[in-house]
Amino acid sequence: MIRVFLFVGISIFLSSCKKDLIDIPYNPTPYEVNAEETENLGILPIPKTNELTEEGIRLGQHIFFDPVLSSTGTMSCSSCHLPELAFTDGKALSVGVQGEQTSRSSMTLVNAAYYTQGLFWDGRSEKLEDQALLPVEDDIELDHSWEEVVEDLKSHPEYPTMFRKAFGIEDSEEITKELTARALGQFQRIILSGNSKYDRWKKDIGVLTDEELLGFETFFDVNPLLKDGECGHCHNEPLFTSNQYFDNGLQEANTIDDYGDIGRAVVTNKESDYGKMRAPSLRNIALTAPYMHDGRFETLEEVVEHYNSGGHPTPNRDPLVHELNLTEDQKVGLVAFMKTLTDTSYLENPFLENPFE
Amino acid sequence: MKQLIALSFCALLFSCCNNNRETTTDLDLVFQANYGDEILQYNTVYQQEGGVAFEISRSDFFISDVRLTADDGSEINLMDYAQVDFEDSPGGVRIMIEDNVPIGNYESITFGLGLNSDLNAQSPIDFPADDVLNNSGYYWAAWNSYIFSKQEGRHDTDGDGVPETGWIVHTGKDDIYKEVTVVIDSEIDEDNNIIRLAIDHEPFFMIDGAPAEFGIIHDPGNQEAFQGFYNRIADNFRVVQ
Repeated sequence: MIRVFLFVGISIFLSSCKKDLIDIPYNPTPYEVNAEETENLGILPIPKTNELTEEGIRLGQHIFFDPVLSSTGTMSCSSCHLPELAFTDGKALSVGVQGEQTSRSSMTLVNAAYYTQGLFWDGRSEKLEDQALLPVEDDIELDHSWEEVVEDLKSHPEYPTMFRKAFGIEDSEEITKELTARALGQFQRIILSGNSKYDRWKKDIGVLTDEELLGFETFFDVNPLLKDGECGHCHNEPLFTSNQYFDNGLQEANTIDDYGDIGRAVVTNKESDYGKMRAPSLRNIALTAPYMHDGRFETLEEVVEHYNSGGHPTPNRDPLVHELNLTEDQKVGLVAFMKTLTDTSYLENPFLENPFE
Repeated sequence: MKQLIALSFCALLFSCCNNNRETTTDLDLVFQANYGDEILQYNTVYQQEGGVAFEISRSDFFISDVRLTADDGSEINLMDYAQVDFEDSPGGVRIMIEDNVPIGNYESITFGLGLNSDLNAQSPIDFPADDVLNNSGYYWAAWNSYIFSKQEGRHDTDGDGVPETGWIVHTGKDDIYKEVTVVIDSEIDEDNNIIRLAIDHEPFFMIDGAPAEFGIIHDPGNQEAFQGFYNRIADNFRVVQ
Protein backbone atom coordinates (compact mmCIF):
# COMPACT_ATOMS: atom_id res chain seq x y z
CA MET A 1 0.00 0.00 0.00
CA ILE A 2 2.86 2.33 0.85
CA ARG A 3 4.35 1.56 -2.57
CA VAL A 4 1.13 2.56 -4.26
CA PHE A 5 1.03 5.88 -2.42
CA LEU A 6 4.66 6.43 -3.25
CA PHE A 7 4.05 5.67 -6.92
CA VAL A 8 1.04 7.97 -7.08
CA GLY A 9 2.97 10.69 -5.27
CA ILE A 10 5.92 10.45 -7.63
CA SER A 11 3.60 10.42 -10.62
CA ILE A 12 1.84 13.57 -9.44
CA PHE A 13 5.20 15.22 -8.77
CA LEU A 14 6.55 14.31 -12.20
CA SER A 15 3.33 15.32 -13.83
CA SER A 16 3.45 18.73 -12.19
CA CYS A 17 7.10 19.14 -13.23
CA LYS A 18 6.18 18.49 -16.86
CA LYS A 19 3.63 21.28 -16.88
CA ASP A 20 5.64 24.09 -15.38
CA LEU A 21 4.12 26.75 -17.60
CA ILE A 22 0.49 25.72 -17.68
CA ASP A 23 -0.67 28.41 -15.25
CA ILE A 24 0.56 31.17 -17.55
CA PRO A 25 -2.22 32.35 -19.85
CA TYR A 26 -1.87 31.54 -23.54
CA ASN A 27 -3.88 34.09 -25.49
CA PRO A 28 -1.77 35.17 -28.44
CA THR A 29 -2.72 38.45 -30.05
CA PRO A 30 -2.70 38.45 -33.87
CA TYR A 31 -0.20 40.98 -35.17
CA GLU A 32 -1.86 43.46 -37.47
CA VAL A 33 0.41 44.52 -40.29
CA ASN A 34 -0.05 48.18 -41.06
CA ALA A 35 -1.56 48.29 -44.54
CA GLU A 36 0.55 51.31 -45.40
CA GLU A 37 3.69 49.26 -44.84
CA THR A 38 2.80 46.74 -47.52
CA GLU A 39 0.84 48.97 -49.88
CA ASN A 40 3.82 49.39 -52.17
CA LEU A 41 5.25 45.93 -51.68
CA GLY A 42 2.34 43.60 -52.32
CA ILE A 43 0.57 40.94 -50.32
CA LEU A 44 2.74 40.00 -47.34
CA PRO A 45 3.53 36.28 -47.55
CA ILE A 46 2.78 34.69 -44.18
CA PRO A 47 2.95 30.90 -43.89
CA LYS A 48 -0.11 29.27 -42.35
CA THR A 49 2.22 27.31 -40.11
CA ASN A 50 3.62 30.46 -38.55
CA GLU A 51 0.99 33.17 -38.32
CA LEU A 52 2.16 36.47 -36.89
CA THR A 53 1.34 37.16 -33.26
CA GLU A 54 2.56 39.93 -31.03
CA GLU A 55 3.89 37.37 -28.58
CA GLY A 56 5.72 35.44 -31.29
CA ILE A 57 7.28 38.57 -32.69
CA ARG A 58 8.21 39.82 -29.23
CA LEU A 59 9.97 36.52 -28.55
CA GLY A 60 11.75 36.69 -31.89
CA GLN A 61 12.77 40.27 -31.16
CA HIS A 62 14.42 39.27 -27.90
CA ILE A 63 16.22 36.28 -29.36
CA PHE A 64 17.38 38.32 -32.37
CA PHE A 65 19.14 40.85 -30.16
CA ASP A 66 20.31 38.38 -27.48
CA PRO A 67 23.85 36.93 -27.67
CA VAL A 68 22.46 33.70 -26.24
CA LEU A 69 22.71 32.21 -29.74
CA SER A 70 26.52 32.46 -29.87
CA SER A 71 29.04 30.12 -28.27
CA THR A 72 30.91 32.99 -26.64
CA GLY A 73 27.82 34.90 -25.58
CA THR A 74 29.17 37.90 -27.42
CA MET A 75 27.25 37.98 -30.70
CA SER A 76 23.62 38.02 -31.65
CA CYS A 77 21.85 38.07 -35.01
CA SER A 78 21.90 41.84 -34.72
CA SER A 79 25.70 41.90 -34.66
CA CYS A 80 25.67 41.38 -38.43
CA HIS A 81 22.21 42.82 -39.03
CA LEU A 82 22.02 46.27 -37.52
CA PRO A 83 18.64 47.96 -37.84
CA GLU A 84 20.10 51.36 -38.68
CA LEU A 85 22.04 49.85 -41.62
CA ALA A 86 18.94 48.23 -43.08
CA PHE A 87 19.90 45.15 -41.07
CA THR A 88 23.36 44.78 -42.62
CA ASP A 89 26.67 45.34 -40.83
CA GLY A 90 28.60 47.84 -42.92
CA LYS A 91 31.45 45.38 -43.47
CA ALA A 92 32.66 43.86 -46.72
CA LEU A 93 32.69 40.43 -45.10
CA SER A 94 31.00 39.72 -41.81
CA VAL A 95 33.09 38.66 -38.82
CA GLY A 96 32.13 35.74 -36.57
CA VAL A 97 32.52 35.04 -32.87
CA GLN A 98 36.20 34.03 -33.14
CA GLY A 99 37.08 37.10 -35.18
CA GLU A 100 37.23 35.14 -38.40
CA GLN A 101 35.76 36.57 -41.60
CA THR A 102 32.90 34.85 -43.34
CA SER A 103 33.12 34.42 -47.10
CA ARG A 104 30.25 36.76 -47.94
CA SER A 105 28.74 40.08 -47.06
CA SER A 106 25.79 40.34 -44.69
CA MET A 107 22.50 40.63 -46.61
CA THR A 108 19.75 43.06 -45.73
CA LEU A 109 16.79 41.60 -43.86
CA VAL A 110 14.50 44.42 -44.92
CA ASN A 111 11.45 42.98 -46.69
CA ALA A 112 12.90 39.49 -46.21
CA ALA A 113 9.35 38.14 -45.99
CA TYR A 114 9.10 38.73 -49.72
CA TYR A 115 12.28 36.83 -50.62
CA THR A 116 10.37 33.79 -51.65
CA GLN A 117 12.86 32.22 -54.04
CA GLY A 118 15.50 31.41 -51.46
CA LEU A 119 17.51 33.17 -48.78
CA PHE A 120 21.24 33.83 -48.44
CA TRP A 121 23.24 34.85 -51.50
CA ASP A 122 22.93 31.32 -52.88
CA GLY A 123 19.33 30.66 -51.85
CA ARG A 124 20.19 27.64 -49.74
CA SER A 125 17.27 28.20 -47.36
CA GLU A 126 13.78 28.23 -48.74
CA LYS A 127 12.14 30.16 -45.94
CA LEU A 128 12.98 32.33 -42.96
CA GLU A 129 12.34 29.53 -40.50
CA ASP A 130 15.00 27.40 -42.23
CA GLN A 131 17.42 30.28 -42.61
CA ALA A 132 17.31 31.10 -38.92
CA LEU A 133 18.74 27.69 -38.02
CA LEU A 134 21.98 27.93 -39.98
CA PRO A 135 24.14 30.77 -38.55
CA VAL A 136 24.00 29.30 -35.03
CA GLU A 137 25.95 26.19 -35.99
CA ASP A 138 28.16 27.79 -38.62
CA ASP A 139 31.74 27.44 -37.38
CA ILE A 140 32.66 30.95 -38.40
CA GLU A 141 29.43 32.77 -37.53
CA LEU A 142 27.94 31.95 -34.12
CA ASP A 143 29.81 28.64 -33.69
CA HIS A 144 27.32 27.23 -31.21
CA SER A 145 25.14 24.12 -31.08
CA TRP A 146 21.37 24.16 -31.05
CA GLU A 147 21.33 21.61 -28.24
CA GLU A 148 23.16 24.05 -25.98
CA VAL A 149 21.15 27.03 -27.14
CA VAL A 150 17.92 25.23 -26.39
CA GLU A 151 19.17 24.21 -22.94
CA ASP A 152 20.09 27.84 -22.24
CA LEU A 153 16.64 28.97 -23.35
CA LYS A 154 14.92 26.36 -21.19
CA SER A 155 16.77 27.45 -18.07
CA HIS A 156 16.49 31.16 -18.79
CA PRO A 157 14.44 33.17 -16.27
CA GLU A 158 12.19 34.72 -18.96
CA TYR A 159 12.25 32.79 -22.21
CA PRO A 160 10.10 29.81 -21.11
CA THR A 161 7.30 32.21 -20.24
CA MET A 162 7.72 33.99 -23.56
CA PHE A 163 7.63 30.69 -25.47
CA ARG A 164 4.47 29.80 -23.53
CA LYS A 165 2.81 33.06 -24.51
CA ALA A 166 3.93 32.78 -28.11
CA PHE A 167 3.34 29.13 -28.87
CA GLY A 168 1.31 27.69 -25.99
CA ILE A 169 3.89 25.22 -24.79
CA GLU A 170 2.97 23.72 -21.45
CA ASP A 171 6.44 22.99 -20.23
CA SER A 172 9.85 24.52 -20.83
CA GLU A 173 11.05 21.12 -22.05
CA GLU A 174 8.96 21.76 -25.15
CA ILE A 175 11.26 24.59 -26.26
CA THR A 176 12.96 23.53 -29.47
CA LYS A 177 15.16 25.04 -32.12
CA GLU A 178 12.20 24.88 -34.50
CA LEU A 179 10.07 27.06 -32.21
CA THR A 180 13.00 29.43 -31.81
CA ALA A 181 13.29 29.66 -35.58
CA ARG A 182 9.56 30.32 -35.87
CA ALA A 183 9.89 33.25 -33.49
CA LEU A 184 12.84 34.62 -35.45
CA GLY A 185 10.88 34.12 -38.65
CA GLN A 186 7.98 36.14 -37.32
CA PHE A 187 10.29 38.91 -36.22
CA GLN A 188 12.04 39.12 -39.58
CA ARG A 189 8.76 39.00 -41.46
CA ILE A 190 7.71 42.40 -40.09
CA ILE A 191 10.86 44.25 -41.15
CA LEU A 192 9.09 46.17 -43.87
CA SER A 193 10.18 49.14 -45.89
CA GLY A 194 8.11 50.48 -48.76
CA ASN A 195 7.66 54.18 -48.18
CA SER A 196 10.68 55.71 -49.84
CA LYS A 197 10.88 58.99 -51.72
CA TYR A 198 10.46 56.93 -54.89
CA ASP A 199 7.30 55.25 -53.58
CA ARG A 200 5.82 58.61 -52.69
CA TRP A 201 6.71 60.03 -56.10
CA LYS A 202 4.95 57.10 -57.74
CA LYS A 203 1.83 58.13 -55.86
CA ASP A 204 2.25 61.75 -56.93
CA ILE A 205 3.37 62.77 -53.48
CA GLY A 206 6.59 64.69 -53.84
CA VAL A 207 8.88 65.07 -56.82
CA LEU A 208 12.14 63.63 -58.07
CA THR A 209 14.96 65.90 -59.13
CA ASP A 210 16.03 65.98 -62.77
CA GLU A 211 19.06 63.91 -61.81
CA GLU A 212 16.90 61.29 -60.09
CA LEU A 213 14.49 61.22 -63.02
CA LEU A 214 17.32 60.64 -65.47
CA GLY A 215 18.45 57.81 -63.23
CA PHE A 216 14.93 56.37 -63.14
CA GLU A 217 14.67 56.47 -66.94
CA THR A 218 18.06 54.83 -67.30
CA PHE A 219 17.32 52.24 -64.63
CA PHE A 220 14.06 51.09 -66.22
CA ASP A 221 14.81 51.89 -69.85
CA VAL A 222 11.81 54.18 -69.93
CA ASN A 223 13.23 56.44 -72.61
CA PRO A 224 14.31 54.56 -75.75
CA LEU A 225 16.46 57.53 -76.72
CA LEU A 226 18.73 56.94 -73.73
CA LYS A 227 21.31 54.22 -73.30
CA ASP A 228 19.74 51.43 -71.28
CA GLY A 229 21.14 50.79 -67.79
CA GLU A 230 19.64 47.26 -67.85
CA CYS A 231 19.13 47.54 -64.08
CA GLY A 232 15.42 46.84 -63.83
CA HIS A 233 15.63 43.31 -65.17
CA CYS A 234 17.20 41.97 -62.00
CA HIS A 235 16.18 44.75 -59.62
CA ASN A 236 12.58 45.23 -60.58
CA GLU A 237 9.74 46.80 -58.67
CA PRO A 238 8.25 46.50 -56.15
CA LEU A 239 11.12 44.95 -54.19
CA PHE A 240 13.87 46.11 -56.51
CA THR A 241 14.92 42.52 -56.82
CA SER A 242 13.42 39.83 -59.00
CA ASN A 243 14.44 37.25 -56.38
CA GLN A 244 16.38 35.45 -59.09
CA TYR A 245 20.00 34.42 -59.45
CA PHE A 246 22.51 35.97 -61.81
CA ASP A 247 26.16 35.93 -62.71
CA ASN A 248 26.86 39.63 -63.05
CA GLY A 249 30.37 39.26 -64.40
CA LEU A 250 31.88 40.15 -61.05
CA GLN A 251 34.30 37.25 -60.70
CA GLU A 252 37.06 36.54 -63.19
CA ALA A 253 36.39 33.10 -64.59
CA ASN A 254 37.22 31.63 -67.96
CA THR A 255 35.70 28.28 -67.10
CA ILE A 256 33.31 27.23 -64.39
CA ASP A 257 36.25 25.86 -62.43
CA ASP A 258 37.64 29.37 -62.08
CA TYR A 259 34.82 30.78 -59.99
CA GLY A 260 36.13 31.62 -56.53
CA ASP A 261 32.60 31.43 -55.17
CA ILE A 262 30.28 29.16 -57.12
CA GLY A 263 27.18 30.74 -55.56
CA ARG A 264 23.85 29.22 -56.50
CA ALA A 265 25.53 26.06 -57.79
CA VAL A 266 26.18 25.10 -54.16
CA VAL A 267 22.47 24.39 -54.01
CA THR A 268 21.62 23.19 -57.50
CA ASN A 269 24.94 21.66 -58.60
CA LYS A 270 24.15 22.85 -62.12
CA GLU A 271 26.97 24.11 -64.32
CA SER A 272 24.67 26.86 -65.54
CA ASP A 273 24.34 28.16 -61.96
CA TYR A 274 28.05 28.52 -61.25
CA GLY A 275 28.85 32.05 -60.15
CA LYS A 276 25.22 33.11 -59.80
CA MET A 277 24.07 35.02 -56.71
CA ARG A 278 20.66 36.17 -55.63
CA ALA A 279 20.03 39.71 -56.82
CA PRO A 280 19.76 41.69 -53.59
CA SER A 281 17.00 44.22 -53.09
CA LEU A 282 18.07 47.78 -53.79
CA ARG A 283 15.61 49.19 -51.28
CA ASN A 284 17.72 51.08 -48.74
CA ILE A 285 20.79 50.42 -50.86
CA ALA A 286 22.32 53.70 -49.69
CA LEU A 287 22.53 52.17 -46.21
CA THR A 288 23.99 48.79 -47.11
CA ALA A 289 27.51 49.54 -48.35
CA PRO A 290 29.85 47.93 -49.16
CA TYR A 291 28.31 46.16 -52.12
CA MET A 292 28.23 42.78 -53.87
CA HIS A 293 28.39 39.35 -52.26
CA ASP A 294 32.00 39.92 -51.28
CA GLY A 295 31.66 43.60 -50.46
CA ARG A 296 34.28 44.57 -53.01
CA PHE A 297 32.73 47.91 -53.91
CA GLU A 298 32.59 50.61 -51.27
CA THR A 299 30.35 53.02 -53.15
CA LEU A 300 27.38 52.97 -55.50
CA GLU A 301 29.51 54.84 -58.02
CA GLU A 302 31.85 51.83 -58.18
CA VAL A 303 28.88 49.54 -58.66
CA VAL A 304 27.61 51.61 -61.56
CA GLU A 305 31.08 51.62 -63.12
CA HIS A 306 31.19 47.85 -62.88
CA TYR A 307 27.93 47.41 -64.75
CA ASN A 308 28.83 50.10 -67.25
CA SER A 309 31.97 48.14 -68.09
CA GLY A 310 30.06 44.90 -68.55
CA GLY A 311 32.23 43.07 -66.05
CA HIS A 312 34.17 39.94 -66.86
CA PRO A 313 33.05 37.64 -69.70
CA THR A 314 32.45 34.65 -67.45
CA PRO A 315 30.87 31.40 -68.65
CA ASN A 316 27.51 32.21 -67.06
CA ARG A 317 27.48 35.99 -67.26
CA ASP A 318 23.95 37.14 -67.84
CA PRO A 319 23.36 38.46 -71.38
CA LEU A 320 22.04 41.69 -69.90
CA VAL A 321 25.38 42.37 -68.24
CA HIS A 322 27.31 43.93 -71.09
CA GLU A 323 29.08 47.15 -71.89
CA LEU A 324 26.52 49.93 -71.50
CA ASN A 325 28.27 53.10 -72.64
CA LEU A 326 26.26 55.25 -70.25
CA THR A 327 26.97 58.97 -70.17
CA GLU A 328 28.44 60.55 -67.05
CA ASP A 329 25.09 62.20 -66.38
CA GLN A 330 23.34 58.86 -66.56
CA LYS A 331 25.79 57.32 -64.11
CA VAL A 332 25.31 60.17 -61.68
CA GLY A 333 21.57 59.89 -62.19
CA LEU A 334 21.54 56.18 -61.44
CA VAL A 335 23.23 56.74 -58.10
CA ALA A 336 20.84 59.58 -57.28
CA PHE A 337 17.88 57.41 -58.22
CA MET A 338 19.02 54.50 -56.07
CA LYS A 339 19.28 56.85 -53.12
CA THR A 340 15.57 57.65 -53.49
CA LEU A 341 14.89 54.06 -52.41
CA THR A 342 15.84 54.80 -48.82
CA ASP A 343 13.13 54.40 -46.19
CA THR A 344 13.95 53.88 -42.54
CA SER A 345 10.43 54.21 -41.21
CA TYR A 346 10.71 50.60 -40.04
CA LEU A 347 12.94 51.91 -37.25
CA GLU A 348 9.84 53.42 -35.69
CA ASN A 349 8.25 50.00 -35.21
CA PRO A 350 8.70 49.22 -31.49
CA PHE A 351 8.79 45.51 -32.28
CA LEU A 352 12.02 46.06 -34.20
CA GLU A 353 13.89 47.93 -31.48
CA ASN A 354 16.65 46.35 -29.44
CA PRO A 355 14.78 45.36 -26.25
CA PHE A 356 17.98 45.26 -24.22
CA GLU A 357 18.87 48.91 -24.71
CA MET B 1 -42.47 2.86 -46.98
CA LYS B 2 -41.06 6.34 -46.40
CA GLN B 3 -37.69 4.78 -45.69
CA LEU B 4 -37.85 2.82 -48.91
CA ILE B 5 -38.64 5.96 -50.90
CA ALA B 6 -35.81 7.82 -49.18
CA LEU B 7 -33.43 4.97 -49.90
CA SER B 8 -34.47 4.87 -53.54
CA PHE B 9 -34.01 8.61 -53.80
CA CYS B 10 -30.52 8.41 -52.30
CA ALA B 11 -29.62 5.58 -54.64
CA LEU B 12 -30.83 7.65 -57.59
CA LEU B 13 -28.87 10.64 -56.35
CA PHE B 14 -25.65 8.65 -56.01
CA SER B 15 -26.27 7.12 -59.36
CA CYS B 16 -26.55 10.59 -60.89
CA CYS B 17 -23.37 11.65 -59.14
CA ASN B 18 -21.56 8.62 -60.49
CA ASN B 19 -22.76 9.37 -63.97
CA ASN B 20 -21.51 12.93 -63.60
CA ARG B 21 -18.09 11.74 -62.51
CA GLU B 22 -17.80 9.51 -65.48
CA THR B 23 -18.52 12.34 -67.89
CA THR B 24 -15.41 14.30 -66.97
CA THR B 25 -11.76 13.46 -66.67
CA ASP B 26 -8.40 14.88 -65.62
CA LEU B 27 -6.33 16.26 -68.43
CA ASP B 28 -2.57 16.67 -68.68
CA LEU B 29 -1.47 19.45 -70.96
CA VAL B 30 2.19 18.84 -71.73
CA PHE B 31 4.49 21.24 -73.53
CA GLN B 32 7.76 19.96 -74.89
CA ALA B 33 10.59 22.10 -76.21
CA ASN B 34 11.91 20.90 -79.53
CA TYR B 35 14.73 21.89 -81.78
CA GLY B 36 13.62 20.44 -85.09
CA ASP B 37 12.44 16.94 -84.36
CA GLU B 38 14.59 16.50 -81.26
CA ILE B 39 14.06 17.63 -77.69
CA LEU B 40 15.79 20.97 -77.12
CA GLN B 41 18.98 20.76 -75.07
CA TYR B 42 19.97 23.83 -73.08
CA ASN B 43 23.54 25.07 -73.44
CA THR B 44 24.13 22.85 -76.46
CA VAL B 45 25.63 24.34 -79.59
CA TYR B 46 23.21 24.61 -82.50
CA GLN B 47 24.06 25.90 -85.95
CA GLN B 48 21.87 28.49 -87.57
CA GLU B 49 21.41 27.58 -91.24
CA GLY B 50 23.65 29.99 -93.09
CA GLY B 51 24.40 31.78 -89.84
CA VAL B 52 26.28 31.33 -86.61
CA ALA B 53 26.64 28.84 -83.81
CA PHE B 54 24.50 29.54 -80.79
CA GLU B 55 23.13 28.12 -77.57
CA ILE B 56 19.83 28.46 -75.76
CA SER B 57 19.98 28.79 -71.97
CA ARG B 58 16.43 29.84 -71.24
CA SER B 59 13.05 29.41 -72.86
CA ASP B 60 9.75 30.15 -71.21
CA PHE B 61 6.44 31.85 -71.86
CA PHE B 62 3.05 32.52 -70.35
CA ILE B 63 -0.19 31.15 -71.75
CA SER B 64 -3.66 32.43 -70.91
CA ASP B 65 -7.32 31.70 -71.66
CA VAL B 66 -6.56 28.07 -72.40
CA ARG B 67 -9.57 26.25 -73.82
CA LEU B 68 -10.64 23.28 -75.86
CA THR B 69 -13.02 23.43 -78.79
CA ALA B 70 -15.25 20.41 -79.15
CA ASP B 71 -16.38 18.93 -82.43
CA ASP B 72 -19.72 20.66 -82.01
CA GLY B 73 -18.01 24.04 -81.66
CA SER B 74 -18.56 24.45 -77.95
CA GLU B 75 -15.63 25.61 -75.83
CA ILE B 76 -14.36 24.22 -72.54
CA ASN B 77 -12.22 26.57 -70.48
CA LEU B 78 -9.22 24.79 -69.00
CA MET B 79 -7.36 27.51 -67.12
CA ASP B 80 -6.87 31.24 -66.91
CA TYR B 81 -3.09 31.31 -67.11
CA ALA B 82 0.09 29.38 -66.54
CA GLN B 83 3.77 29.70 -67.15
CA VAL B 84 5.61 27.18 -69.29
CA ASP B 85 9.27 27.12 -68.26
CA PHE B 86 11.49 24.51 -69.86
CA GLU B 87 14.44 24.98 -67.51
CA ASP B 88 14.00 21.78 -65.57
CA SER B 89 12.16 19.70 -68.11
CA PRO B 90 12.55 20.61 -71.77
CA GLY B 91 11.09 17.21 -72.57
CA GLY B 92 7.76 18.01 -71.00
CA VAL B 93 6.30 20.72 -68.82
CA ARG B 94 3.13 19.20 -67.44
CA ILE B 95 0.09 21.25 -66.50
CA MET B 96 -2.64 19.20 -64.88
CA ILE B 97 -6.29 20.13 -65.18
CA GLU B 98 -8.17 18.24 -62.54
CA ASP B 99 -11.40 16.48 -63.29
CA ASN B 100 -13.30 19.14 -65.15
CA VAL B 101 -12.80 18.17 -68.76
CA PRO B 102 -15.89 16.61 -70.29
CA ILE B 103 -15.20 13.37 -72.09
CA GLY B 104 -15.69 13.82 -75.79
CA ASN B 105 -14.20 14.62 -79.16
CA TYR B 106 -12.18 17.78 -79.49
CA GLU B 107 -11.10 19.57 -82.56
CA SER B 108 -8.52 22.00 -81.23
CA ILE B 109 -6.89 23.68 -78.28
CA THR B 110 -6.56 27.46 -78.14
CA PHE B 111 -4.52 29.67 -75.85
CA GLY B 112 -3.14 33.16 -75.78
CA LEU B 113 0.63 33.35 -76.03
CA GLY B 114 1.35 35.67 -73.13
CA LEU B 115 -1.30 37.29 -70.97
CA ASN B 116 -4.60 38.71 -72.11
CA SER B 117 -5.14 42.43 -71.62
CA ASP B 118 -7.10 42.02 -68.37
CA LEU B 119 -4.32 40.05 -66.76
CA ASN B 120 -1.68 42.26 -68.28
CA ALA B 121 -3.31 45.33 -66.77
CA GLN B 122 -2.25 44.01 -63.38
CA SER B 123 1.22 43.78 -61.93
CA PRO B 124 3.12 41.49 -59.53
CA ILE B 125 1.99 43.48 -56.52
CA ASP B 126 -1.58 42.29 -57.20
CA PHE B 127 -0.77 38.62 -56.77
CA PRO B 128 0.25 36.53 -53.77
CA ALA B 129 3.83 35.35 -53.50
CA ASP B 130 3.10 31.82 -54.66
CA ASP B 131 1.45 32.95 -57.90
CA VAL B 132 3.52 32.93 -61.09
CA LEU B 133 2.27 36.44 -61.81
CA ASN B 134 3.90 37.68 -58.60
CA ASN B 135 7.31 37.20 -60.18
CA SER B 136 8.63 40.69 -60.81
CA GLY B 137 11.33 39.23 -63.01
CA TYR B 138 8.55 38.83 -65.56
CA TYR B 139 7.20 42.33 -65.34
CA TRP B 140 8.66 45.20 -67.27
CA ALA B 141 7.73 48.55 -65.81
CA ALA B 142 8.80 50.44 -68.92
CA TRP B 143 6.14 48.59 -70.90
CA ASN B 144 3.52 48.46 -68.13
CA SER B 145 3.40 44.87 -69.20
CA TYR B 146 4.35 41.41 -68.20
CA ILE B 147 7.12 39.80 -70.18
CA PHE B 148 5.23 37.24 -72.22
CA SER B 149 8.22 35.19 -73.24
CA LYS B 150 11.91 34.96 -72.48
CA GLN B 151 14.44 33.24 -74.68
CA GLU B 152 18.13 33.69 -73.91
CA GLY B 153 21.47 32.18 -74.72
CA ARG B 154 24.82 32.88 -76.30
CA HIS B 155 26.02 33.12 -79.87
CA ASP B 156 29.34 33.09 -81.66
CA THR B 157 30.57 36.50 -82.72
CA ASP B 158 34.24 35.83 -83.39
CA GLY B 159 33.81 33.00 -85.88
CA ASP B 160 35.43 30.22 -83.86
CA GLY B 161 32.21 28.27 -83.63
CA VAL B 162 32.00 28.72 -79.87
CA PRO B 163 29.09 30.83 -78.57
CA GLU B 164 30.50 33.42 -76.18
CA THR B 165 28.28 36.50 -76.42
CA GLY B 166 24.89 36.73 -74.76
CA TRP B 167 21.62 37.22 -76.62
CA ILE B 168 18.12 37.67 -75.32
CA VAL B 169 14.68 38.20 -76.71
CA HIS B 170 12.01 39.24 -74.24
CA THR B 171 8.56 39.95 -75.63
CA GLY B 172 5.46 41.54 -74.19
CA LYS B 173 2.81 44.28 -74.42
CA ASP B 174 -0.86 44.05 -75.29
CA ASP B 175 -0.45 44.94 -78.92
CA ILE B 176 1.55 41.83 -79.81
CA TYR B 177 -0.68 39.41 -77.93
CA LYS B 178 -2.39 36.82 -80.04
CA GLU B 179 -4.05 33.48 -79.71
CA VAL B 180 -2.69 30.20 -80.92
CA THR B 181 -4.94 27.39 -82.07
CA VAL B 182 -3.55 23.91 -82.54
CA VAL B 183 -5.69 21.23 -84.17
CA ILE B 184 -5.72 18.14 -82.00
CA ASP B 185 -8.62 16.20 -83.50
CA SER B 186 -8.73 13.86 -80.56
CA GLU B 187 -11.08 11.99 -78.31
CA ILE B 188 -10.46 12.71 -74.65
CA ASP B 189 -11.51 10.21 -72.06
CA GLU B 190 -10.11 8.64 -68.90
CA ASP B 191 -7.65 6.52 -70.89
CA ASN B 192 -6.67 9.17 -73.38
CA ASN B 193 -6.24 12.35 -71.41
CA ILE B 194 -2.93 13.84 -72.40
CA ILE B 195 -2.48 16.61 -74.93
CA ARG B 196 1.17 17.01 -75.82
CA LEU B 197 2.22 20.10 -77.70
CA ALA B 198 5.69 20.62 -79.11
CA ILE B 199 7.12 24.06 -79.65
CA ASP B 200 9.89 23.98 -82.23
CA HIS B 201 12.64 26.48 -81.42
CA GLU B 202 14.61 26.09 -84.65
CA PRO B 203 12.42 28.47 -86.68
CA PHE B 204 12.80 31.19 -84.03
CA PHE B 205 16.20 31.97 -85.47
CA MET B 206 15.34 32.14 -89.15
CA ILE B 207 13.46 34.89 -91.00
CA ASP B 208 12.14 33.99 -94.45
CA GLY B 209 14.89 31.43 -94.92
CA ALA B 210 17.66 33.78 -93.77
CA PRO B 211 19.38 33.65 -90.39
CA ALA B 212 18.00 36.10 -87.83
CA GLU B 213 20.44 38.40 -86.08
CA PHE B 214 21.14 37.87 -82.42
CA GLY B 215 21.18 40.71 -79.97
CA ILE B 216 19.68 42.19 -76.83
CA ILE B 217 16.07 42.61 -77.81
CA HIS B 218 13.66 43.72 -75.14
CA ASP B 219 12.98 47.42 -75.35
CA PRO B 220 9.97 49.26 -76.77
CA GLY B 221 12.17 50.95 -79.35
CA ASN B 222 12.88 47.55 -80.82
CA GLN B 223 9.34 46.24 -80.94
CA GLU B 224 9.53 45.13 -84.56
CA ALA B 225 12.31 42.71 -83.71
CA PHE B 226 10.65 41.16 -80.73
CA GLN B 227 7.26 41.09 -82.41
CA GLY B 228 8.74 39.04 -85.22
CA PHE B 229 10.28 36.65 -82.72
CA TYR B 230 7.00 36.42 -80.80
CA ASN B 231 5.17 35.55 -84.00
CA ARG B 232 7.66 32.81 -84.74
CA ILE B 233 7.00 31.32 -81.32
CA ALA B 234 3.25 31.52 -81.87
CA ASP B 235 3.50 29.90 -85.30
CA ASN B 236 5.46 26.86 -84.28
CA PHE B 237 3.30 24.85 -81.92
CA ARG B 238 2.11 21.46 -83.06
CA VAL B 239 0.42 18.52 -81.47
CA VAL B 240 2.49 15.42 -80.76
CA GLN B 241 0.48 12.27 -81.31
